Amino acid sequence: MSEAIDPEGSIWQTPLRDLVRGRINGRLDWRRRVRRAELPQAARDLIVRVVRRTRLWRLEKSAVAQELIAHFSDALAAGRSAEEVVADFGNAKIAARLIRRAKLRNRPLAWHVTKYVTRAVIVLMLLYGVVIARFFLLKPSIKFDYVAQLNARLNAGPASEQAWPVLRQAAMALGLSPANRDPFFDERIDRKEDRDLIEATPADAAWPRLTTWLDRHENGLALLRRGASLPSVGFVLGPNGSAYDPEFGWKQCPVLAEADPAHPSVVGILLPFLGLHRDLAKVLSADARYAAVSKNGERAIGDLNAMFDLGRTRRGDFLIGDLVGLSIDRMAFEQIRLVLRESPAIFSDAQLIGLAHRIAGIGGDTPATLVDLSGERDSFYDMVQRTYSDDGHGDGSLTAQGAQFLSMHAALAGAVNDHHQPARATAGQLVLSASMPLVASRRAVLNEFDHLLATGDASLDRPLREDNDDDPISDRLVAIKDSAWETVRLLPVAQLFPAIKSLRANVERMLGEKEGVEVGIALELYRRRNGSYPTSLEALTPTFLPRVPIDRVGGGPVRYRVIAGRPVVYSVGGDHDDDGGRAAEYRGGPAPAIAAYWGTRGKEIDGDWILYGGRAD
Amino acid sequence: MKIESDLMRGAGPVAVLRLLEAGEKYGYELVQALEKQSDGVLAMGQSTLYPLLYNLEAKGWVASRTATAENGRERRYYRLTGKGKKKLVAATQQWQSLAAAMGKLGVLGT
Repeated sequence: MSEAIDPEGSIWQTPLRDLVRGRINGRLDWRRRVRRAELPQAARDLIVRVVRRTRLWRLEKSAVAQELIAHFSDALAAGRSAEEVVADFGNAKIAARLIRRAKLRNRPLAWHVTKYVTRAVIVLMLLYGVVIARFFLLKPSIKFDYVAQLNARLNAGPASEQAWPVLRQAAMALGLSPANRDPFFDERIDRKEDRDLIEATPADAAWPRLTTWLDRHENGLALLRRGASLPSVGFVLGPNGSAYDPEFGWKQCPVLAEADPAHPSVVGILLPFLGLHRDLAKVLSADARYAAVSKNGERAIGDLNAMFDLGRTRRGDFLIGDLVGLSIDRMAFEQIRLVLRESPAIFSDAQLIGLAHRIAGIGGDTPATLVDLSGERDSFYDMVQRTYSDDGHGDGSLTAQGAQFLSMHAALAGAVNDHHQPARATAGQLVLSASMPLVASRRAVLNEFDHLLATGDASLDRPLREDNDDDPISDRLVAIKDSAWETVRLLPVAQLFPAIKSLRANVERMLGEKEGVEVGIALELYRRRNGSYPTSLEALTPTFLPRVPIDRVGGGPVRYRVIAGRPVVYSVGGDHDDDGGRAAEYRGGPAPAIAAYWGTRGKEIDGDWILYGGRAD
Repeated sequence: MKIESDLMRGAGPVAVLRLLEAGEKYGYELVQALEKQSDGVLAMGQSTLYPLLYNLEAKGWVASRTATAENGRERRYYRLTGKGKKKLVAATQQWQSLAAAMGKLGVLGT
């Protein structure tokens, strides 16, 4: 049946509009179809009311309208009156509601999926809105000044016992202050081996330049030795503390935007003295070499003791301080090995015994004797009080202010900053910001941290070789980082938990070298008394050595050989294979400590860990 | 006699399926058949017949097609599907069991 032209319908229901809807004959214009139906006005009105109220898609409305037109037409054709067909039909509102409900059931699966997904998204957004509102309304409450506690620990004792004021003078006299840095310290003598002029040895052509410089800086060296011997660190942390010293060349440069600049966070304080301590130790090390060449044992002992004093600053501090202290200790051990190899005669027996006693006082069998994690705990607890609200019962939620603090820390830590992929970095920042309200509660974060730290603390009492490749802390941290949800939820832990396994390995390396030097001193004393080295280390005990040290990688006593008239004390190294005192190699040359590895990675390193003697010394 | 809506809700779909078993029918034809074959007992409000048909279609028990009748009128015709036939068999058995049970109780056939 063709339909007559309807100007209004033709304008509004254009072929193009129909085409877009998949129809080309204007049949979607259900109103026009009703208007044009040969039905009484009351029936047409009823159809329009019902169809309009269904609020269905146009195509569905069209189908319903067509069916109702047919229905009323059939009823009229069956002899019913206009009033009867309208009355028989029933309530338009109920009909529309039932038709809508039934027609919606007929819609495609994709529509139903979209509907439920949309509803779920709306519900989630509403929930997220509640969380966000809470996030912005809560404020952190800073109740304890951890920086003040640190200052009290670092700066105990009278002014005359504070090291930093004297070390500061020494650094200025030696040209190590940033404001007046001597270009001498920036000169390289061996780019390939990455050595500076201050690290020159008598075998280097630059050695005379180093000795001349040392001669010119006698006063600075004396100040350095005196400052190092003072028992208290004497470095005031925090705003306007020792790190803010324009005369020295340190300008106030806060690391983090602090909520309360007058009371900065532990993670935000600056510790520039640690780097300086390393530089000062290099100067002492150079002077010890010079003293050895000059056959001045007393001066060499003074320099070595000053290095051990500087290394002492690690105590009661942070792990970063511990690591700097360990590296200074290892620097001193290297000098002792060098002197005992090249010119042992510069040390008297008494000096050697004194040195051995001094070294024996550094640490014990396990890392726990050298480092503790209390500083890391304080640092984390300080971060928590600055980022979380406090409900007074040990719990709280992450605050917007805290999230900003964490974001900044994450950016500084490189967690979301990828300079090579700025788009990814930006996306990372956005995701991080949006997900901050989902970070776990104060109690949950502290529980996780405390549990991991307790595990770490317990592991400090255990030699690394007893781990049997087990590393519950790393396993847990990797699990957190492998899960997007856990990474967000436990972000503070993932960001700030210290690398304890690595710390333990560093301490074990240092303790291994320390024990190697202790054996080396005992061997030298034995040789002086007996004219030759012993055939076994047991001959040293108990007169020269309390006991033979344990091989820190392989277990059992450390290995000992005399090769070409020189003693070698060594550990079997990560591959657990006795290579007869042959050092593992790195970049084509012997590297005495490269085999000091535990776990599966160490098994691939062929060669021994040389603790004392050997070609490299 | 007017059947209560709760009873109609269970009986209506089965009645419609039963009517369609004989062959496809359009809306008003079903209205008339229900009224005539049930002596008006199952005559449902016409406003509820179409939602009922759409629901049966959503369940896959009936299918529909649009066709132009001899009088030139466009109608939608409904027919029973295979799934609908199975449903009708099952529903018929249930109704028979129900009727038998009601009979034993003296509700029917006294």
